Amino acid sequence: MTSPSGGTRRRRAVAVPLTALVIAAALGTVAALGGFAEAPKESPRRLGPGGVVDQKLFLTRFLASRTVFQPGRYGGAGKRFLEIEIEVTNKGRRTEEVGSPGEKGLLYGKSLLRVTPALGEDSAPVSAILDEGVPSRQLHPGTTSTVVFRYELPRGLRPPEEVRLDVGTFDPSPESFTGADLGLVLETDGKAAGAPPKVAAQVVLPVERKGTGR
Amino acid sequence: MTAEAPGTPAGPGTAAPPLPPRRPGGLRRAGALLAGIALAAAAVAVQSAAPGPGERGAPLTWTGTVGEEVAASRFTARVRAVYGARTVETADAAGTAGTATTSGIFVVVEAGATAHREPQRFGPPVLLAGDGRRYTATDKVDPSLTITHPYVQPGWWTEGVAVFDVPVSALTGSRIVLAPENGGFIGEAYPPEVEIDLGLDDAGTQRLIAAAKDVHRLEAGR
Amino acid sequence: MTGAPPPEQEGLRDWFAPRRSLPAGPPWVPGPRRVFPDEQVWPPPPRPSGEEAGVSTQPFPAVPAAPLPRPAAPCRPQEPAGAGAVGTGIGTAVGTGLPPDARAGTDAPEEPAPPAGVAVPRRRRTAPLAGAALLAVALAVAIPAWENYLFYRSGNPAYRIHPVAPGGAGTLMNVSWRAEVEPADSLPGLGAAKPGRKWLKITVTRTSLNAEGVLRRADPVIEVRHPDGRAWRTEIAGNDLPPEAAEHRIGTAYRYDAISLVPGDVAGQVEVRVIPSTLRVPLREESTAELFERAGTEQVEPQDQVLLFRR
Repeated sequence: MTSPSGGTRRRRAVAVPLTALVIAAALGTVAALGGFAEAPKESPRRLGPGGVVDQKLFLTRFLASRTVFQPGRYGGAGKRFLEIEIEVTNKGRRTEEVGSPGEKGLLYGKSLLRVTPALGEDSAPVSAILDEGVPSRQLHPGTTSTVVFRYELPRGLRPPEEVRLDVGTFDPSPESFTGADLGLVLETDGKAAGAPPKVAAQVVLPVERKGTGR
Repeated sequence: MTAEAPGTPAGPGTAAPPLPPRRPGGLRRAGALLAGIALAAAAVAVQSAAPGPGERGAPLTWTGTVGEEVAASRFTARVRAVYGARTVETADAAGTAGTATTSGIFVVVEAGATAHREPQRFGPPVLLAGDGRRYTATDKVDPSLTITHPYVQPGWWTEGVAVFDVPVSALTGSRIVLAPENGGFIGEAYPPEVEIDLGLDDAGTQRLIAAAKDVHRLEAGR
Repeated sequence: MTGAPPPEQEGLRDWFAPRRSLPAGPPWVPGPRRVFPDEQVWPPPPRPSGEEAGVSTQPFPAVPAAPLPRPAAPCRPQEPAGAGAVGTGIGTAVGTGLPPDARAGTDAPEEPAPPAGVAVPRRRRTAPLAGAALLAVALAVAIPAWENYLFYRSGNPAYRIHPVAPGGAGTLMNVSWRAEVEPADSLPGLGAAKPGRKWLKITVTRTSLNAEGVLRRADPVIEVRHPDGRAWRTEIAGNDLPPEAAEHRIGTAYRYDAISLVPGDVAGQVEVRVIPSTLRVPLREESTAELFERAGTEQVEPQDQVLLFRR
């Protein structure tokens, strides 16, 4: 721009500053109102025994929780276990493994994000499909399997009245930049890296007291 | 700025040049631009033909049918027979016997293989259903009883079974996929795999189900 | 203003003293004072219509007249004015906008006119362009290929073969190695080989030649390979190396027993390959601190030296 000269009056370019001002004002307003945060999430559903959660890659029915007592083999003191029994249908396209539940969980089990009260801190649970003659840990596509997570209860500790499970969902098509197979990936709360896994449902199972287990 | 607006042809004071004739340089420039765009488009087209990130490390697959010897880059495999079974009687490494049941059906594939140069082992076989679902060999059967246990070596055929636990709906059009353990050598671009069609069309599936044994007994070989 | 020296060159001087004029001479000689005529600044004087460009203090305006001829318009074969489109047609008044006589005046003396229509300067760039394109393509293919090859080699080293005459001993890394092969139809504990196959009982002995050889006492890799490249699984069944390093004697032969199963027809031809471990196992157990201290001081040797025992 040059200053007006020679009598010809030139119009001041007003569009650019004006646009900038409008944009700045709009951004400021949006920021002041809290920004484009994601819409408030619906709070996780609360379910009881028999509740069904669609985990996108799996359909899971939460059956029951119970204590079992296993007498000692050679006359020794027996062990008490707490079992969580669920029915899992693999909706994916390949065989997956049961893994283990909890915050440090693996494979399918990691979708049971948290088990309250905290169980299995000392010993990881044994997870298996037990009702088919030989224990299995595979969830085949299109198949419904009854999975049992079995925690050993510490001696002298009262078993809890109920267990609460925070249930997450799996991302059906996780983004992989390298193309490497990422395996099972949990859906997170929000897009940010390191966001915690999304809790889709909270299942509360009362603990039945029972006698001897398998 | 002078009084004269920029861009206007020279005022009356200067000698007005004749209107410049058509510039062949412009034509040439347009041609170059077109060629550039064409080259860029060609580059994009070539890129789209390149294997995607998922395909890049994917195995090279050799295919065949039951009874056929399918030679892959490092081994040759064949399937001799396919059975159905309702239960499988098995023993694990400790010798504890058990009878595995299923809500679907067990598919027992008798397979054999020989290596071309290096001794190698198979990873868990996969049953690739007609709809593309992948069923890993069942873990109800101890691996020491299956073809994943022995080394496949040059000079002779190593025989073994692969046992799958699948829903009946997965049978039609299914294939077995055999691949070396861990995908082969380190840094190998395309590990080999052999995919053998089990020959289960609709009729074959019906025959397999009808002929399924109630108990299939698996014993350690040798 | 033009006559005023830059302020930093002015020394101390009285406010009303005459200005020194630096370029005129030494500072002590007062130069002749330049006098400027008074000039009307405000209001601006009426501007003469044909104002010269160099006088204006305003930004330089767009030149209304035709631009000057460019010195290197490459696709312009020189030609007499008004020759018009000849051949390819390039070069007819290449947008200089100059009147034909002006162009002729500026261009004609620079170069003699080449044959009309031949774009000489452009053709000269074709070869280097093509060469550069070829080079770029070659590099684009070669560099990833080379990287992939190095990665492959990191997992599959190119073995350096040291052949050993039949019955002889081979020395690598201060250890002398010997190998013996004994075919057998049946082995205790393993039973009879299937028809067409033969067990191979392989005895590999190692003798440490000095203390450094004792450090290299990690288990070797023992292979059974036919000269045609086929190899068979070989497992080390046991060894009689002393468990304590202190008992490991220099000059004493210790043996590894290995077992392999090969087709019967090649049992007499297969050769044993011993790939000694490059690990240096310290004589006594090291503390973690010592381990960290040692880490990185030793060169990592690729395990690529192979002793090939001929038969």
